[in-house]
Amino acid sequence: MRLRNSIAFRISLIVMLLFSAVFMFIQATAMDYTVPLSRVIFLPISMYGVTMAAFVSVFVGTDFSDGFIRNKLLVTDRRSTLVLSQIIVNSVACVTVYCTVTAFSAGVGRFFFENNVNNADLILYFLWGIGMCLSTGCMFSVISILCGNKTHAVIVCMGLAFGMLFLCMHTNAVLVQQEYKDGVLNPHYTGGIKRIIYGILHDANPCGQAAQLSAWEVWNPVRGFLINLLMIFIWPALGCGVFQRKDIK
Amino acid sequence: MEYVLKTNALCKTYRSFHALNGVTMNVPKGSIYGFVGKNGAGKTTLIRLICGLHYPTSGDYTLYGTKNSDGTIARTRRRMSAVVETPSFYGDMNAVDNIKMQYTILGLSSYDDTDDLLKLARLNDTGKKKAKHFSLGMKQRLGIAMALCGNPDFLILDEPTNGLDPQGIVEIRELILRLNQERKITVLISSHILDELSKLATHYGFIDKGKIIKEMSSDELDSACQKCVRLSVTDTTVLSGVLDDMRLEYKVIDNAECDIYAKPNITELALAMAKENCEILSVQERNQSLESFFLSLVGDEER
Repeated sequence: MRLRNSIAFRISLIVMLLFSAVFMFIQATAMDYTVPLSRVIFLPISMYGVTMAAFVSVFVGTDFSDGFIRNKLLVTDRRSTLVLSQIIVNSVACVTVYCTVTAFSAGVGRFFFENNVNNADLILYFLWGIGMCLSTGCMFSVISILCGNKTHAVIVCMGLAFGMLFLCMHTNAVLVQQEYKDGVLNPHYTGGIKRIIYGILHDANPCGQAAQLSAWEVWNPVRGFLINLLMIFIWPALGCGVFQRKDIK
Repeated sequence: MEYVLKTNALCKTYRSFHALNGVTMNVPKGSIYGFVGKNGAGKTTLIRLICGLHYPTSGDYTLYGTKNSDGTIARTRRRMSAVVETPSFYGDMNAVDNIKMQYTILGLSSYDDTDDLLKLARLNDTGKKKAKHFSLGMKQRLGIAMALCGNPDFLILDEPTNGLDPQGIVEIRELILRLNQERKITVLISSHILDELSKLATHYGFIDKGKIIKEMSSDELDSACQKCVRLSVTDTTVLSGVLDDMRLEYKVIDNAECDIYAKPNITELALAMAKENCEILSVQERNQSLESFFLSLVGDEER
């Protein structure tokens, strides 16, 4: 009920739709070549992490700032129930925003861009993106709950979101380097264990996953899927464990 | 006597600060228990422990016979409700939606009592007005109305009249009295507006520096705060005899002082004392208010 009426949720949805519209406009007008549809479907998802960080921290933080968390703690059998319910609600919100924006980009983009999208690839990437949404929702929900304060939650989540964005730019810059450039060994190419580590960092970072989606190039979908699965279990377990003994103001 | 809440040497320490230092208190069923203490005495800390917001460092408490370490304490806690520090509600929702939200988290599907609760709290004409735009008194009443969802047996109110105007204070007082008398709800109120508490409470617990100094019923407090005339004399034995003859109620404090709980005729008393060669050294009228009684309690502790 609170999600349905939440202004923060509506604003985050509108913002993401605006990103989609603006990105499509830029791609349609600024390029001097025909832009393929695959370029724009997941392009707004590059800003997904920051937008969802803002929404989740405000939505969860309101429970603390308005004091309603005290009412919930008084009636709940176990604190873990509270944590899990917050995670579920926020994950649903994150997935809803993702689905709406993707449907909007795909639906509107068909009329303005060259349709080069293979439906099987679209479905695979879309489902891969759902995993990204769920891990994003879990992470920011737990962080916001453990902050225990709306202002702290917003600062920490937004800081983390921007940090992840910059990290993703760095790891992406490293991973896109080809081994050979114009037939010559690329000195900027990173190989071996270091490449694997960068790859894992890139996949573990929701912004890194978003970057891969927006480029229509998921390098290691299995690894990404497994990492998302791990995040979906680790974050709630961490949240439930730490929140269990936390003193709530 | 049946007790709703019993605490046993409850302690709470934050780093090196002892917020509660062995609190032992008992809240009788059906009472309005006034929890009195200065700012920082530990009232809100104790309430947070009982509500499960914080965990005790040591000691324990029993709620309706269930110990806090028992796995079923969370279920027992559903029989109580609380307004801790400030009323808890969503500012962007109106009164009706807030109460429905409270019913939802209680797991109750029926919103039938919503109108009754709003009427009880005199918020039935607020319409779609958001709670954040309510006056302070309205916010307090909304907090209490939400606390009454699910018909709790035990209500904890942490300084419910803070910041209210005189009319607001009267409204809250009447509401609490109605809840206690009509719905038989046991109420624990913490406050430092002592005169206001004296119009409500049936039992008192005085707390200072994290310790319970004294627990007493309102009758015992009335006796302790009774109006009297304190006489300082050279021989209280003689004075006792004179007062017995005059059929006046009195209490001998020590071998030099005596409190008389009546208005004696001073001339008659002085003449009677003079006949027995007993001097009256001083006469003092005493009218101990709850505040001065509390300050004297705290002062004794500090000494």
